[in-house]
Amino acid sequence: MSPAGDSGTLQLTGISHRYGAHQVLHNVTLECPAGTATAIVGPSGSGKTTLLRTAAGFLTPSQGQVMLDGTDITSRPAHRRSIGLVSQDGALFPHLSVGRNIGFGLPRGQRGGSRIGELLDLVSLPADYADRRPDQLSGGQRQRVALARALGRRPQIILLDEPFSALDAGLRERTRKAVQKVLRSTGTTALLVTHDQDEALSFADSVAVIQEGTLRQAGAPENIYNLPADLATARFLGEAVVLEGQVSAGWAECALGRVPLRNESPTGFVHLLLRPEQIEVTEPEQGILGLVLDADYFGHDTTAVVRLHGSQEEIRVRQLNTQPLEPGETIGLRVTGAAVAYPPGGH
Amino acid sequence: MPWWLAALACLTTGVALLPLFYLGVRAAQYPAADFLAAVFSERSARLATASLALTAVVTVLCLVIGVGLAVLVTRTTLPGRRSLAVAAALPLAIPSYVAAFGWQSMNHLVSPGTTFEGFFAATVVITSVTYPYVFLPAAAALLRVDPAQEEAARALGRGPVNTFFSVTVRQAAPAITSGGLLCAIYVIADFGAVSILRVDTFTRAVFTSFSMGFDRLGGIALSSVLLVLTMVVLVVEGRFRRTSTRYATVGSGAAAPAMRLSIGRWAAPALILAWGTVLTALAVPGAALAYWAYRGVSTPGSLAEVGGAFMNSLWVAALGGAATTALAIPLAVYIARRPSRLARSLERLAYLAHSLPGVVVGLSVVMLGISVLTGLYQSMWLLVLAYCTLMLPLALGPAVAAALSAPPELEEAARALGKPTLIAYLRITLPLMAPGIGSGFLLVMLTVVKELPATLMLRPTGFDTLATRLWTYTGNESFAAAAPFAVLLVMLAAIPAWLMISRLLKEEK
Repeated sequence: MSPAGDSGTLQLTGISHRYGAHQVLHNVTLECPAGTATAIVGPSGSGKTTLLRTAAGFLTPSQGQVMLDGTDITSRPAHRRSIGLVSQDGALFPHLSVGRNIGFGLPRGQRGGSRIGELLDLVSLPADYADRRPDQLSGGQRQRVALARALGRRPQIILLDEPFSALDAGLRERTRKAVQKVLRSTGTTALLVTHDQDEALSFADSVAVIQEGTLRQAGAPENIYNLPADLATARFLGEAVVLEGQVSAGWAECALGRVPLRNESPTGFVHLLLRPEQIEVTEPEQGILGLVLDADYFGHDTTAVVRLHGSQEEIRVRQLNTQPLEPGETIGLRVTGAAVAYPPGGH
Repeated sequence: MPWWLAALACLTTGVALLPLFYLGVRAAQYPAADFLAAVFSERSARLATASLALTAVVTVLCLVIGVGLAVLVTRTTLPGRRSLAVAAALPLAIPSYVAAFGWQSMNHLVSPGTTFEGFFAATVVITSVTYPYVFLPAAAALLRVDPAQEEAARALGRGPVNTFFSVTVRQAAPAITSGGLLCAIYVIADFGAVSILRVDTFTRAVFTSFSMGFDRLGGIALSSVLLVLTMVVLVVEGRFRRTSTRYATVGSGAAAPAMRLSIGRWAAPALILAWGTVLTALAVPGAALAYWAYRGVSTPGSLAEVGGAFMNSLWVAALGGAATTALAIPLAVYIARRPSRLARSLERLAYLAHSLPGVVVGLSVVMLGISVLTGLYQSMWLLVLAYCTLMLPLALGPAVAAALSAPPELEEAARALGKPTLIAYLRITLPLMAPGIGSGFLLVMLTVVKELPATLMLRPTGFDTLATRLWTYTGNESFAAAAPFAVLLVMLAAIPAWLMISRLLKEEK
C-alpha cells in the first residue's frame, strides 16, 4: 500500500502569490518530509488555502518553486502531480455512486474489482456502501469516502483542506483520528490546512503557523506551543498569560515570583509568556496572593480572571473544578515549569 | 482554466454571430453615399413612421392592459383573481401570426366580403398577444415588494391608495418599464402578423426586398436600420431590468402577505373590463381555430399533410436545438468559471442577438449562402445557422445557471484524481449541467417550431413546416386548410408559456 521507499517529500520554496494588487503569500518556505504529517494553521484569510492550492497545482505561484522528491513540479498540471486532495465538504461527485466516486481516479481495470472494497475497508466503511449515493452519507462518512477516493491512486502526498471543519465536535475528533490512522498505515505524506490550532497540534508531526501571508514558525507541535516565535503566535496557538519581568542569569523576577526561563534571554526588562495551565491555585498562604475578579464555569474546569496583589496585573487562570473559584475570593498562585521571555517592543 | 476553453467560447460565439457580422461587412462594401441614400430614403421614412407608430401604440396599450391586470390580480380583493391571472397570461401561447390568422379568418366568417387588415387590425392583434410581456413581470414585481415597506409607509401616516402609488408602484416601475420595452422589441421584430395584416413596416419591406427580385442595397440598408433600432431598445431594456433585480434584492422578501386594496363597489366594472379584454384576446383566435380546424381536418388528405409538416418541424427544431445548445455549452462553462472581462463581453455579445428580427438574420444568412457558403445554400445547415444566431441566448441562460450550480471544487477533485481538465469537464461538469442544458434545448426547439421569417427565407425548396404551411394557406385565404397547423403550433407554443405562468403562480404562493 505504501509508496515505494522514502518518496513523497514535498518542498515549497520561496512561494509568493498575489491576486492583483493584493499579496496573499510572502516568500513562504516549507518542507514536508516523506511519510510525515504537517499542519498549516492560521486564521482565515492568512493565505493557508492559497498555499495548499499551489501545492495541488490549481494555482501557479507568482514566485517560488514546488518540488516533489527534488523534482520541480511548479508548472506541472494538477492531474499529473500524484497528489491527492480531500476538501472541506469532500467534493464527492453527486451524480456518481460511492463506488464510482472511489473508482473515478483508478485505472479502468481496477474500477470493478476488489480494489473499491479494499479502499472502503481502509477507511472502515462496509463494502456495500459502494452502491450508496453521496447524499445518503453522513458528513463523517462523506469525508472517509473522499479520503478513500484520494488514496485510491496511491498518491505520494495527500492534501487535506479543512476536511473536518464541517463536522460537529465529537465526530470531528473521531474522523480526525481515523484519518490519521489510515495515513500512518499507508505511509502517505500529509499536508493539512486548518484554522483550528488544537486540530493542528494533535494531528501533525510538524506544525507551520502562517499569519498575513507569512510563515511565522514551523516545527514540532510541542516546540511551537512551548516556544512560540513571538507573542502573536503564542496567543494564536492557545491562551497566554503575559507578565512583565526582569531577567538575570537565566531566571526572571515577576509578579508571580522567581521563574526559570525556557529560552536564552539578555538581562533586563522582558515580557514573560506562561500558559494558564502552568499556574497552580493553592491556599493563600502557600503562594503569591491574588483576588478572583470573575469566574467562568465550564463544567470540567473554571477559567478565572485574577488580579495579582503585588503588581495589580490581571491574568487568566484555569483551574480543574475540584475546588471551585468564586469572585471576591483571595487565592494563592504558584508557577510550575518555565516561562518564555520576549524582548520588549514586540506585542 | 485552460486557454482552449476561452478559444472555444470565442469560436462558438463567433459562429453564432457570423450572420450579423457579415451583414456589417456587406453594408460596408457599398459607397457610403449610396448606403446613406438608401437609409434616408423617402421609402424608409414611410416605413419608419409605420413601424414606430405601430410600436408606440401597441406598447402603450400593452402597458395599460398589462399593468391594470397585474394590479387587479396582485393588489386588490377582486373575486376570482387567481383564474384571471392564469387566463391573462395564456395569450403568450399564441404566436402573433397565428393570432393574425385567427382574427382574419374570424372576420371572414362574421362579415364575409370585408377585409380585416391595416394599422388598426395589426394594433388589435399584436396587442392581444403581446400584453402578457408586461403583465407577467409587472405582477411578479408587485408581488415582490416587501410588505414591511408598505407597512412603514402606512405607519408614517400615508393612506392605502397613497402608499400604493408612492411606494408599491415606484418599486415595480423598473420591471414594468422593462416589460414595456420588451413589447416594443417584439413589435419592431414582428414579421408574421404585420405581413398577414398587410401593414408596411420594416420587417415586411425587408422580406419583400428578398422575395421580389432581391433589391440587395435596399434590404441591407433596411436591415441595418432595424438592427440598430432593436439594439438601442435592448440596451435601454437591459438597464431597467438590472435596476429591477437590484430592487428585488433589497429586503428579506415577503414574510407577510401583500397588502390588498379593498375593491368594494368597483368590483363589477373591474371584472367586466378585465375579463372582457382577456376573453377577447383568447376567444376570437380560439373560436376561429376550433371552427376552421374542424372543417380543415374533414378535408381528405389533410391529416397526412399536417403529419408531414409536423415531422419536418420537429426535425428542423431538433437540429436547431442541438446545434444551438452545442454552441452554448462551452460559452456557458467559460462564463460561469471565469468571470473575466472577455467572458463578460462574450456573454453580452451573445445576448445582443436576443429577440433580433428574424428577417434580418434570415437575410444575412441568405447573403452568406449566395456569396460565401455557396455549397450550403438551399441546405438545412444554413437554416440551422440562422436558428443558432436567433436562439443562442435562449440556450445560454439555463446552461450558465447550470454551470454555476455545478461546484468548481468537483472539477478540482477530478483533476486531483489524475484527470486532465477536458475529462473533468466531460465527466463531472457536463453530467451535472444536463438538466439545465436539456431545458435550454427544449426551449430552443419549441421556439424554432414557431419561427417564421428565417424559416421562410432559408428552407430548402419543397421543405414545409407547420409555420410555413400556415403562412402559405393564410396567404391564399384557405383558412380551413391552414387551421390544423395553427392548432398544432399553439399547442407546442403553450409548453414554454405554461412554464412562465407556473413560475409566476409559484411566486404568488
